[in-house]
Amino acid sequence: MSATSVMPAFWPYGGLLASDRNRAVSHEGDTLRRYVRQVRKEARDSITLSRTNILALRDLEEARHDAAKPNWDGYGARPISLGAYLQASDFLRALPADVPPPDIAVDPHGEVLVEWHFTSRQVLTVSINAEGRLAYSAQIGLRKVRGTEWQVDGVPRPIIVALGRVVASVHGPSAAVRGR
Amino acid sequence: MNSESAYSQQGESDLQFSCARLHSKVLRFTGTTDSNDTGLRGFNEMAVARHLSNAPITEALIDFRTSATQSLTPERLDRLRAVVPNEYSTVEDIYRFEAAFDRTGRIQTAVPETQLGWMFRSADGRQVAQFRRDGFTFNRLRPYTRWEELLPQALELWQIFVSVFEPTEVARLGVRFINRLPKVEPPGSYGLSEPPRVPVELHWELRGFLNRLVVVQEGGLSATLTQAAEDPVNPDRPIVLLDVDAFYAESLGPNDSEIPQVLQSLREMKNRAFFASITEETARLYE
Repeated sequence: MSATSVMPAFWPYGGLLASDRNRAVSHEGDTLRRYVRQVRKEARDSITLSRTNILALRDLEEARHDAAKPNWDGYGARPISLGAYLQASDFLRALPADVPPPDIAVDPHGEVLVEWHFTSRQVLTVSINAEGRLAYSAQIGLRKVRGTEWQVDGVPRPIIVALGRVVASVHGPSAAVRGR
Repeated sequence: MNSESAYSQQGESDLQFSCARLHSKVLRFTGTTDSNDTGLRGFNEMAVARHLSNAPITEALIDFRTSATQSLTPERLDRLRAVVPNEYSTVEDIYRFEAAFDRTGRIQTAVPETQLGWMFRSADGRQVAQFRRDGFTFNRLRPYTRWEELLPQALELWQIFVSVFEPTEVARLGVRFINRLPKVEPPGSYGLSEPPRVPVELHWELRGFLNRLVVVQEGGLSATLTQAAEDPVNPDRPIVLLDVDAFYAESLGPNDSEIPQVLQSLREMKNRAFFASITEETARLYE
């Protein structure tokens, strides 16, 4: 049984409480958005449910602070892109709560790097730019998987699948369903 | 009986209507919210799909999502102003601002505004065309008119978006209807065929809820169903929000000939979800 087949049904949609980039303009649309955000906030405030999101967003803030100015690395790096920061914030908020918290960094081009690094052969890296382009690369044992997705609605399925495979290669297939 | 006709919004013959009602009564056993009822429970008959003259639609959206690659230049705005129909007389910028506040209410972290697009509003404010960096949305506010009127308008405006922004693909198509039901029957179950329930053993009264389901149908169609009781909740006369967002998240070309049919299928899925979510008694209140 592959890790993909045991992925929880809602993972491809980024979670029930993920941002849906609400396009509604009515009062009732705003009301619903407020209700969902309140539930999302309360879920995040719960240590049991929100550790991944809280830790990841905290790391993003630290990275933003560290990379706020030109030449922040001493080698001419560009400061963190505002757009990349916002896109990364959305991406991290959309992560399912039971995903291991990633490491966050900023690259010399100002883009945000989100990485799950378990061993040299179990790694997933996602590079996020201001336009919402998600360039990902996964090392799963001897296999390498690469691709480009766009952040439209939650975390794109191919990235969730890649992450599941990386996690499964570390902990075994049952890790993808633990806690369901 | 042709099960598909049960979900058509065209007029039903008396015989078809009766057959559809019988079909909806079968096995709709859902229980009651009466915490004292420990015996045989009743069931909430789901509504039969048909045209509602006073449909509780508060907003209808037809949504096209692309990748966030489109830049917002003055030239693009000029081109939009030149080709968007004159009835959309007001243009507003759409911005995003993000901030985090500490417990005293002071801003802890703030990110400057970033522009997301332009919003063209009709003179009466009932229709909105949103041209965004990551796609296009057509909104119709209350009072709702007819799908047959809105779809061509949305497709025409979408073609304007395509000509000005030149997207390479449509990543998601969506048809979303937000309904506000100020009257529901029976009020104890919020007028829903499958209402949220407090376990009988608790003997507690339900005073508010937010339900959200993500469902998948054959053919790649999905939907997010959101049900909520509007605050503040009056248990004798609750107001219910029912939001059905049907979407198709497979890539299509911006001029793909399948787009109108996909939107039609999404609308049909939305209709099925709406009528299946409410009771027949509630539907009658909006005829």
